[in-house]
Amino acid sequence: MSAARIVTAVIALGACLAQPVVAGDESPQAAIRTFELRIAQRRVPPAQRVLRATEGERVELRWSADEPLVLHVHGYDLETRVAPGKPAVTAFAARLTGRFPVEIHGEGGAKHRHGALLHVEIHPR
Amino acid sequence: MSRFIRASCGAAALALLPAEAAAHAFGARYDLPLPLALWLAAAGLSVALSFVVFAVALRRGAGAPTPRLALLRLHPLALAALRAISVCVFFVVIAAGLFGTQDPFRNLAPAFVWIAWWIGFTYVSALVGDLWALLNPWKALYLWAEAIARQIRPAARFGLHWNLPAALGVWPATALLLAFGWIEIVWDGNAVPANIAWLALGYSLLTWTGMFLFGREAWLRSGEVFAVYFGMLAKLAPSEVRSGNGAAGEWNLRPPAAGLLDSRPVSASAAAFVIVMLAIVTFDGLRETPLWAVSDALWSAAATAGLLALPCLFALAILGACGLMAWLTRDDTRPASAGELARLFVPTLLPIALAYHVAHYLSYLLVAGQVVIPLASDPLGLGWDLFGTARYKIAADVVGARFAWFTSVVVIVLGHVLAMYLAHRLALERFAAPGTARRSQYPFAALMIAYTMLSLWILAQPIVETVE
Repeated sequence: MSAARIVTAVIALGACLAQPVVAGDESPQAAIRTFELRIAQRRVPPAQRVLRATEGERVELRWSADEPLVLHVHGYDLETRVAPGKPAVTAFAARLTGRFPVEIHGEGGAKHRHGALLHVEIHPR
Repeated sequence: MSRFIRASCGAAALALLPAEAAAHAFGARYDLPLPLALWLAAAGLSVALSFVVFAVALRRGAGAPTPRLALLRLHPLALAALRAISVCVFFVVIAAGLFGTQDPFRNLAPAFVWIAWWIGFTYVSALVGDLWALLNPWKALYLWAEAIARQIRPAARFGLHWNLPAALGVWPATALLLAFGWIEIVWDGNAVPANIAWLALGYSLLTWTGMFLFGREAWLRSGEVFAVYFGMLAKLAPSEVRSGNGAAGEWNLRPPAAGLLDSRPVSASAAAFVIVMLAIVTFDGLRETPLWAVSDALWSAAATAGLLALPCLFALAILGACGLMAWLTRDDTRPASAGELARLFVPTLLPIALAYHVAHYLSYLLVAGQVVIPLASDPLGLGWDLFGTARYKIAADVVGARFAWFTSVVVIVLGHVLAMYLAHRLALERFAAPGTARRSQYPFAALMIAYTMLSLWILAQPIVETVE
């Protein structure tokens, strides 16, 4: 085996290992489901209180907000920081099915018997 | 319990660093509402199979003695060992509550008590038998105290053995069940480990006082709410555990739910106990539906009122159906009152309640219940790793929405059919003519279908939290 082949193999192996866990079972051609979410006064428009996607899709929540917030997607346990002028994206492969609340964490929001900011519903294929 | 989680999630979120966010998986329930097609299928099947029960069950010969098959007789030493383990777990949970970290997610007490024991043992009791009668740590500790007392003064009898009035029935346990339901569903502090430990200690004091005053078995029958609760569920089990006077336990196989075929009416207090059981499990689901969306400020008051009102509503509906049943069967050789019929037939609603309970909690138990695995190694949240499982990560994908949906539909339809069948069998034994027995079942079947539909309707609702 030539040196070049070994190097290629090592790089390929490294690339595999370096893959983030979330992307593990995601096929490259997975449909992407994108949601543009504008948070104003800790709320999103009523039509966006429930977001639906299908198992296997790639979900992208594109956030913008009028104040600095920490957003937490339950179940998938993803945290995203967003601030005015600093939009952020929460992206994940929809492998768990269920109805997952997205909540605002940090000061204030957590004290209440909190209603979720919105719910992400991942329906089975 | 989901409330335990919901209430504590916020507090925990404040304390947790992002890196520890995985702990959140513990709490919430992520159930998707039952899709319309499955809802319709389950509802249709329930109604259709109700007619099958009408057609088939009434031809069966009633009154044959239930066959029993002895499986196992526990050696007294084995029983003592089981009880010793149970008592150890009891002390570990109390120690974790008192001396462990007060973060509900890193302490064994909340997860063990609310998920593993309160939900898990419900299923064990219904599917296996009354293991609580063998493992009950309060009973075990009292038995040991009795044994020690016998060693010291062989002649004297331990305890006062006052006469517990028979009219009291299981009313003390019914009141305690309502209180426990309130703690589970309404009380904000129910996930705080120290609160759980103090409640367990307070309940221990109450239980041992009751046993000392009225005798061990008398109190276990009427005041030890968990003995009554798990004992009631064990009537559904395909086996029965009988423990003699603490000396040995025997384990018999029998047809499932044979415990519910006793043709004698239960006491009014036992019927009330069953109604409170049904109401608590239904209310726990109902308060998560959009129907129950009340504001934060009113939540506790509204939930308390709902928890008290629902058993009364259920009792009224049952008495109404039984009143109609009494009227329909008034030409029987032994006409029955509405009250007597209610006491006879209320226990047959248990399979529907259990089925709804499984539909509501099974995926939660299977996912959130896994948290007991790491916490068993580090019960106090002090960084221990007793069994090498402290780093166990919850596998949130062991069950998905599809599993939850199909188990829900299957168990609810099965529970419904079993309930209908049991009620028919009891009616055949109670009423002289098969025609009268059949007539008696129209109102009760309507009640059961309504109860099954209510359970399915709740499952078809999205879980909502409070409105702003």
